Amino acid sequence: MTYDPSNTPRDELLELKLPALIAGELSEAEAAGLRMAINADEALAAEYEELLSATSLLGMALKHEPTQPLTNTQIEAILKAAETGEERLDALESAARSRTFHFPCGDGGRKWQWWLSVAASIVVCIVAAQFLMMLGSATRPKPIPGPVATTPDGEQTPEGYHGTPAPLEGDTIWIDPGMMPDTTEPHLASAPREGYVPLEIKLPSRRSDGTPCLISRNEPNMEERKPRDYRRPQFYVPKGTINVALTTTVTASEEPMIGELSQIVDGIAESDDENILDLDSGPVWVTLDLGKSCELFAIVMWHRDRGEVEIAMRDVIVETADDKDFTINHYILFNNDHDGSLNKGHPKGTDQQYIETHEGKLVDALAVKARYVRFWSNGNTVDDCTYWSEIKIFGKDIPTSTTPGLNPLAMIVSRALRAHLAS
Amino acid sequence: MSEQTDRRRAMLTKALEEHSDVLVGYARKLLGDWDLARDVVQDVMVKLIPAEPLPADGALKSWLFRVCRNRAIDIIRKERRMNFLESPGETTPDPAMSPAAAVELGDTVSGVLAMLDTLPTNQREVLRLKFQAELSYREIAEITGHSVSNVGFLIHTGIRKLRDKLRPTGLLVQGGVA
Repeated sequence: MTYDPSNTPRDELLELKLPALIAGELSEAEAAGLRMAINADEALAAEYEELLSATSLLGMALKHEPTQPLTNTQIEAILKAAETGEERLDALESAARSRTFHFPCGDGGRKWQWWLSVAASIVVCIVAAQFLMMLGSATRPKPIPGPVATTPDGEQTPEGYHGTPAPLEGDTIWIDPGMMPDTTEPHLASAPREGYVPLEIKLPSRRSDGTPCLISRNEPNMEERKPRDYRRPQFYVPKGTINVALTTTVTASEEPMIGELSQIVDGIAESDDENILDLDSGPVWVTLDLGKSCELFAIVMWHRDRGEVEIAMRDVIVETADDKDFTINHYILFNNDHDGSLNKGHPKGTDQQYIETHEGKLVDALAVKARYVRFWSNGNTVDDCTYWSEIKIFGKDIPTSTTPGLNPLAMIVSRALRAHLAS
Repeated sequence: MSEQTDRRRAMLTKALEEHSDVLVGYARKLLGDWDLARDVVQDVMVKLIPAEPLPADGALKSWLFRVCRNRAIDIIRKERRMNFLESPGETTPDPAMSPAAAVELGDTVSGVLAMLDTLPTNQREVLRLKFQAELSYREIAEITGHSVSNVGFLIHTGIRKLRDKLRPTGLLVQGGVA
């Protein structure tokens, strides 16, 4: 196909094609056509020459940039590792592992003495811990047992709702199932019940592009890799639940580098280029204003499915509130910032990092009532950017009649009552 | 000796000869430390030995850069930041060059690199991968995680910004370098 510059707007030629031509990224036909256009247009030719000159200077500067090559010792070590192939490498790795942990005595020493001392220390620690636990249980009121829930991923331990309620500034409450009123069943529902229906989520297509690249097994706080044919168990929500986030107002901590904020709530969860929002490095947030307070049951978020390249977002926190400053009825529904590295005043999270898939991540919203929902993140396992494809929040308008649900006063009263009864 | 082992060895030799210097420079940009950068590149080379599957012949360079970047980021995460560092001030002139020419080249190189350092991190990185490592948009996309069209956008924006910064210096001329 012959390139016809007369059919292409001048701006597009200037803005997009010249750098691509210089970078050698145009097809032969496109390049030939553009060169014809350059020859026929003096202004375009001047622009081209200037950009070419700038890239030539850049290339020259980068070529002469100082570098420090590998040392001879390093090169020898690499070649030695290759000498005997994989077996040799295994031996090297084994040697490296052994260097990280040293026995207090060498081969000629008495290892059994060292092992005996280790075993004795462990036994002493266990006995001491049990004694302290007994002492503690005798002097403290017994904890309120929270209902055991099954997560959407089939785990028996709730993903982030357990633990000590850790109020932030203002009225923030870390949601704990133990704080829920007796009349409220856990909403993390994996079994059908009356009035509830399976949550229908339209999944995007599964991507299979990219060169396979797995997340390191040493990655901290990382969930187990799920089998390829894994499907999330059915999640049940009250009848009439809809995606209340669709086309709502989105704000962010910064201007996106690529994409529009509205793409997050356009209902399209595909991870193709046109549908990905790219925020810069560091801690960033996006906030959805639902327009009015809603009762929320499930939140599903798709950051970015990168096909064969495994990727997990870091420091993902989902919080809700009734005001845009997140001070009134402030709840944290999900938090995998296990080391507090987000450093924005949240407590350390107990949820795990998860690998992005086309299924997205489902967070149980525990029927919390909120108007604003904020999503924090802090780069990912591949780079330091935050990507967003889609957020769906499944909820309902708050009914006029009062139904049992989470509200701070009810939880506090219920908790106090339970503590009183337990004592 | 198996054909596979021969191929691995040939690939390793090629990687060392053709790419190790640029990789060290790239890693140094990410890490800010020459010694650390060399260690990272050594790790990358050693990882190539048992790599499974072995990168295809045409994909070796992008494989090396991707693994290098991931390894560097693993280290950077300990500090929870990623910052493409400013360029070092000294240049590596051609030994055959006269002292005066070497000084002039050094000034020009330093000036251009200083301007490059004023660009945003992601633009600097893709410009380096394009014009230093000579990778294609698609390869850069695989390494950095950006889409191909985003890489094109970043390079396009970066080149034009650099051109704007170079204009007042008089280094730019029509038809090439002054």
